[in-house]
Amino acid sequence: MTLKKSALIVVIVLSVFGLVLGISGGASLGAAEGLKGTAYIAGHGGHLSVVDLATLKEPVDVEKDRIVITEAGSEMEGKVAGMDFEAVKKGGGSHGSALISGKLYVGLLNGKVVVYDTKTGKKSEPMEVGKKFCDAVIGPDGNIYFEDMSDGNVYVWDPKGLKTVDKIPVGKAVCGIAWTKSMDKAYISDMPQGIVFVVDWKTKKTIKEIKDPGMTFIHQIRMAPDQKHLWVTSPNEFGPGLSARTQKPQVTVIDTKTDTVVDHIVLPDDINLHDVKFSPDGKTALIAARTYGDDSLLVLMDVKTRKIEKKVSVCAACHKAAGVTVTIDKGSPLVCGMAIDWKK
Amino acid sequence: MPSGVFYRTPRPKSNSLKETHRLIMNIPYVALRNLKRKLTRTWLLFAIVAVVSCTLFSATLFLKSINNALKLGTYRLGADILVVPESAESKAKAALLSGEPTQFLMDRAILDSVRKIEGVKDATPQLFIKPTSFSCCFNVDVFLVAFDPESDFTVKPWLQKHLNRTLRLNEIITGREIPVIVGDHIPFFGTTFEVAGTMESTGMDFFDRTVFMSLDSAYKMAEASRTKAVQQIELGRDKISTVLVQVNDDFTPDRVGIRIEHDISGVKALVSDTVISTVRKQLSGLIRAILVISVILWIIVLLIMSFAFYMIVNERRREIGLLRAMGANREHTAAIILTEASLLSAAGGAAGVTLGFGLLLSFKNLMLHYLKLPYLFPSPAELITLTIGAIVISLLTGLLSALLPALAVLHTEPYDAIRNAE
Repeated sequence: MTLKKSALIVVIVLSVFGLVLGISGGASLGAAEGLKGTAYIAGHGGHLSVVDLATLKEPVDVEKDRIVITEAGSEMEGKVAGMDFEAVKKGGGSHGSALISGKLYVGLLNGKVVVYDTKTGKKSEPMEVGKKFCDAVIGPDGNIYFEDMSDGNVYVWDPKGLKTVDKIPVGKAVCGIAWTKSMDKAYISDMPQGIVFVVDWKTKKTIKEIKDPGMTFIHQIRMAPDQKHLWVTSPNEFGPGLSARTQKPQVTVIDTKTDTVVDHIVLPDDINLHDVKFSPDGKTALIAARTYGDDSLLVLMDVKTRKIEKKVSVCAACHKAAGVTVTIDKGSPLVCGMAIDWKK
Repeated sequence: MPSGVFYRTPRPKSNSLKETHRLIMNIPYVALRNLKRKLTRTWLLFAIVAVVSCTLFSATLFLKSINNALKLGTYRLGADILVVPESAESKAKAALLSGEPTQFLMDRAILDSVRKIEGVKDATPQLFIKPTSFSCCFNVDVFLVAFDPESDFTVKPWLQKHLNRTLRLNEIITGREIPVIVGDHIPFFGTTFEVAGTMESTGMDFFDRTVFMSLDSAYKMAEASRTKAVQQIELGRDKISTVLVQVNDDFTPDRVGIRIEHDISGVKALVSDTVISTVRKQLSGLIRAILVISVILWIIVLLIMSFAFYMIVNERRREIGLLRAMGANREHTAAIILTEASLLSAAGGAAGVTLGFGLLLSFKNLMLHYLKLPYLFPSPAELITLTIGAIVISLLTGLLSALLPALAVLHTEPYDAIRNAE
């Protein structure tokens, strides 16, 4: 074969390769394109990071890209799952929020609730509700369901009357809740036990416990766009019984028909996912993740291909710009729950 | 006890030449003599031990009494939740914990609303009537509580056990602290009531200083007060003060309390366990403080006594040397020091316990008035245990403080002791 012919073959192969890459890349970016909304990501610093989903720009302005709710706080302090951990050093820390009509209902690590009006910027006084909240989820009845990591109860809270409606005992340290479309069942995740409790929604009694080796330390739960599967965020920072880590961070997929684990989406070590939400078209999964480095991330993943499309810094860029050093949680800014306003 | 530093044992009966008298050192005698020789120092050390044991004993007894009352009181109450008007929350808590007489009213319709809440097993109304005094030898402030004989579960068990019948119209049951006996007649708001029974002491003024009557009696009393009483009382039959609730087994009281507060506006659900545990939490702070102070005091006493006995041993070196020379062995001389310390600390402990007991009895009412807490004295068995415990701790303190000086004595040679003392 002559040199010319060889070179031609190489060029053709490279071009085809490039074309294939371009198509697949284009296809994957396509899923994330066209997102319109604002994500509010709660962190232990007591403030929410604000990300414009249209631009996916890193928040850098401490005034505009941040909503301050309270002072900082850590989750592995005080009482968790009824067990005593090190004494609470800082009394605050936000962890999850629910958005209703432009108002963010933020659950704090001290079990209080703060209401923040995104239109006026007004913030309510903290209201005593529980002990240590993980997530805040809008329920099918319009009430907000706060999962408590200290006493294992789900606090049902009326956002109109600003009153607690009920307190459902479930596990030891619950974090997330999701319902089936028919609302006959609810699924509640227990963080340190790594169990997903299946609750008969009529009687509010637990009917099954879903366990899996891939769930050793879990957080939020979300019903997938197909309304048949649950995605459980399993960052697995701890092993069974709060021992050293034994599993990689992953999404554990549960079939709600059989209430069994059917799949695992294993993620890179720097994506310790804590919350997941889906875009209205069901194509993109937005994941709030900790790196346990100097940052936390908003990660965009294609639901179909399960490929990571983009990572957005939600902490470091702003901290660096403001000259802020994180002093809690061993110097790592930690996020958890996310609320998304898809209208803005 | 034989007197003298040494005494001989009786001659053995066998008359054998091999068996002789034994010379025994009279340690208690020597120890007592030593204590009497330096009276000022003895009294001072005695006083230190007495003060510390008095503090520890009286604090422990006081806290134990409060705890006893809390346990018995909540058991006697029988209710998991008290539903009261929202505005009367603090008054209701004061009434429950310290029996502070109070009066507040809400619509009787709330009773029906409470009964409909999921998780409520039983609900019964009660009426709290503002304090009034009656003249009988001396004035006494009492708390009037009216209950529904049909649905009640607080007073009814007592009635069934002791009276074996329901309370008749114009009959009352009184708490132990009210100075009346069965058969006495007492007027309230112009109506005379007959005392049908007196409850046993609970330590909670909510029971001990309360007069219980039926709701019917209370309403009739109120109606009659318009014409018969100097002080009238306005009480409609559609009014109650509180609803007492028992919850189903598969519900927690605080969960039912949350539902009650959400579904019925204007009320507060006081979970009795929470009210009591709040008191216990506050008490635990007090207990911790007392514990810390007690430990510090105990360490101070230990150090002072150790220092004192060290000085005692030092100044009696010559004496110890002489005793050794006269035939006392090392253990004898060490035992003298330890016996002195034991006698001093045991006596100080006993005096401290007596003093503590006296002080507590004298100031109990004043403290309870300011703290507004229930109080029930421990049983005789518990009291004896506490007393023995206090004295034993005092004794051990004395022994511990004299241990090092006693060990130093063990290693003292008679010749060196006499010579160095010169």
